[in-house]
Amino acid sequence: MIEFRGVSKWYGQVAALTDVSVQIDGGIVGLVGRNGAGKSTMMNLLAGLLRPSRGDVLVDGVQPWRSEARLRIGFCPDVDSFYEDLSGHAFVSWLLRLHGLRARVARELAAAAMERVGLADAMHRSIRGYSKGMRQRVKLAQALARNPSTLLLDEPMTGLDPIARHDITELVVALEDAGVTVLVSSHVLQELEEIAGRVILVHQGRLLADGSVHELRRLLEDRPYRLLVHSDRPREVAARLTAVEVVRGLTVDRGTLEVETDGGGDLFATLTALGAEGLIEEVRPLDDDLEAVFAYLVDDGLLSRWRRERDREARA
Amino acid sequence: MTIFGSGYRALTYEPTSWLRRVWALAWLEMRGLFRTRWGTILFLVCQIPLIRSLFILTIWAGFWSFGGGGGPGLGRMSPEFSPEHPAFYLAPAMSESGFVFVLLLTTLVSARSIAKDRAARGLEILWTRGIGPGGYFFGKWLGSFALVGVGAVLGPLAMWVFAQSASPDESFAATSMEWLPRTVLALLFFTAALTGLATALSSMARSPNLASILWVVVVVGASAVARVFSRLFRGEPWVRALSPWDAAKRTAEEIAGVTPRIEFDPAVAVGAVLLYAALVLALARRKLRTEEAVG
Amino acid sequence: MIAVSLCDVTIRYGDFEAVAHVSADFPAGAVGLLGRNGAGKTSILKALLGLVRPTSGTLTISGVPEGATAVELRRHVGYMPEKDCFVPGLNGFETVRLAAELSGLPGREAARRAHEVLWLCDLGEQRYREVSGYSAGMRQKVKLATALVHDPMTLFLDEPTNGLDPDGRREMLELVEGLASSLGKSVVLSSHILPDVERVCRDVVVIDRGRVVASGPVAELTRASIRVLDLETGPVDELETVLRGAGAIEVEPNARGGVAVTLPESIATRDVFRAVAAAGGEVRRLVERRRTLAEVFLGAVRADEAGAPPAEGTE
Repeated sequence: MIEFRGVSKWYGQVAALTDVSVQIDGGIVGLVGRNGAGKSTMMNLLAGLLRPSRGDVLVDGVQPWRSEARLRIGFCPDVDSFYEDLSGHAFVSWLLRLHGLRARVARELAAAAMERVGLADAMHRSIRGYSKGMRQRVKLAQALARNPSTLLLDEPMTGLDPIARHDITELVVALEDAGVTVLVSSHVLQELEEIAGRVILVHQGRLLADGSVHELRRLLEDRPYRLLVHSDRPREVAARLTAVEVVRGLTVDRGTLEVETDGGGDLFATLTALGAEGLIEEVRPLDDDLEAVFAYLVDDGLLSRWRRERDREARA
Repeated sequence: MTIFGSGYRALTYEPTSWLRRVWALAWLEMRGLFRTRWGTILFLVCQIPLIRSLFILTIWAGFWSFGGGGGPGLGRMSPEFSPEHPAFYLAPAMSESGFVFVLLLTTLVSARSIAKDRAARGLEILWTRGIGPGGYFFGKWLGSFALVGVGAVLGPLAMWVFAQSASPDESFAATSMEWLPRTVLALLFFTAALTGLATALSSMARSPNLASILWVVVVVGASAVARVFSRLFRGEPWVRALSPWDAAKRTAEEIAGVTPRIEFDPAVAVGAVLLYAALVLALARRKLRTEEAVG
Repeated sequence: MIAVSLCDVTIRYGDFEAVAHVSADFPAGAVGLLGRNGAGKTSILKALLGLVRPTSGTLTISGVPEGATAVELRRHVGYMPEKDCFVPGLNGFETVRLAAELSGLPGREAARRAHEVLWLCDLGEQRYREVSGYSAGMRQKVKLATALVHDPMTLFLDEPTNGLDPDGRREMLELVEGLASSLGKSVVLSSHILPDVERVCRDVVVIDRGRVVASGPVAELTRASIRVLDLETGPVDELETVLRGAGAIEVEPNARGGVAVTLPESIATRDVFRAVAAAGGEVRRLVERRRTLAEVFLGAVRADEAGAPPAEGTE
């Protein structure tokens, strides 16, 4: 379990994180934001590498920089730092020994972790000869080795090829099934969306959004929805849709029709009717994915953000 | 009324010659030092031998005098102090004091030139265009040659022009024309050889700092070794040729036809220079293979 | 039209065979070149740039005369390297102008053109700042500008979205898409981020262990073998029964809160609309499920390891 309570972090005059409060009880949670938005600061706070300037960070109810918390947290940083001459196995077991484990136990746990990340064959070769993907797996192995309850993955996929991406994704999903809380940051939103049920969006050091993609999209109700309608007779469909009140715009491009709508109204009923007549092959909402939500929230103008806040307060 | 497009324009152009392309690289290399204030100051510091020569020249021309000694008196001390002698023009680059400054300049420009591109992976950008490794090397060398040549070749030439205009009669022009072309050739050779060696060594190091150190070690180290060995093997000409600097200097002195400061067989010197050149160029060629530019 | 064509290309370094008898056509427009690390992509790019000579076989790039030297060839192709690389000490403008001059543009034209492509790549404002101080996104853009400055017909882009945040990635992909669709360039995009490839490329070529294991239009390769529709509706009572009544073989809840409906070939999409309408519901989403490019990639690589022939999509 992860908890931020009113956390702010300053580096001298620079405010990296401002008044962040969030609680994560489990599952895979995605952390997204632009470069410099505060993702890595959050990760480092959770890993116990930094202390908050104000507020409190807790992992399983313990402050992460305390030694009793260290074994519960597995951290896979986004930068590479290895002792290149050591073998992968030796490196991981050495790190475990730093945590106070006995040599024999450390070796066993390290071997188990290396096997888990698919490096069993290469674990006794020196890290110098490892590829980018293998290095990433070593970092993951050291994070997993002490069987943590919380796993922090900072950009775990950067530079990996599709096979390695797939393997790591599967591993993360398996860990979630085993009850590990996983906080993972990534810039590739489509990939993150596939595994993370919940997404935390940070922007300029503040929490901008928190929830499932679906819920978040629903909250952005002032944004028009866009639908792509596939049809053999797009012009006919377009003619019928112009009569629908909530339709804001229609664009016909060969076999497809892009519909912009405020949502609600009888658009979907009309589409269903057209479909029942055999005029429509596909109805594809274009912007209910994480990427669209991200773009709407991050690139949002100040005015619409204020308006949304006002609306929310009015509702509450 | 018109709304104009993205601004992308299809190009039609006659590609420039190989030399023009290489020159673009050389020109940049030449100006590199002047991009920072410290670089400019450094360049000026390296021109101290030239300023010294200019000072001697003004004394020789009689602009000022120290206790009536006058110009000709200086020349009697050493030909290096007489603008009527080719040794005077070789001095800024080749004298003992010139050594430090030429070494400094080549260390900071030539020796770093390729290594700094390699460290920043610039080779991948430069070699995937209209030049290959050969052109790249040539351009890099040309740039540092031109830069070092400003002090080592152009400076002395300007000095000669100045001496010419300061001398009272035609005799200076007449006599100096006998040795001037050979002197210029000697200076050109010397500058080309040193910057060439430094540039080639630069291609072998992973970082610019390592390259600088390598170059200093090669020049100073070889000189020191040559000095020690010359005590052991007294009179053996090849010992001095162990130092590429001395070998290049001896060759240049032979070209200019001046009395060498350290006498040894010029044939050995020429042989040594050719050997070093062949060696470093072969090594540079191995280190600058196109296969390594990408990936 | 074919932009780049490999015919039985083999590249060997000593005993190591990096590319083995690869034949592949890259149609004009944006084409993805996919493969895991060490699969042979880099070797193919090197050969296409004239940096290595294939041990056997021929490479043809549209617009490049036969028998062109490596330097002539590079007038017609632009290359954006994967790794972070720059010429030290130069600002953005000087970098691009140097690249132009090295490609043979005359001085004045090189400068003019450098300004133009920098603006095009949305780097106009920052062009007089030193490249060493650029952010990851700006460095990618300056690399793209250098690749484009001499107006090549064909562009090779190696991991252009590497290290970019979501905004940077979107901008870069829009640029790449624009190059192919608006400026009519042929783009070979090598990338590990398959959602990016799926978004920009119409065709892909998948390489593994030095051989082509799949190639063809993305739309064909991602076509699913079983017809499954992802359906979301307004509230409908007993949706599953309604759909099964309409002929669905299977109805299962999917990850997004809707249902995945497996249909036999005999049932048309229209029947699903009708069933929902008859039950008083409305269709909010009805999308035929496709394989993702990642699935295609994994499938092709695994099949190849098992010894199956390459997957080929056809128009």
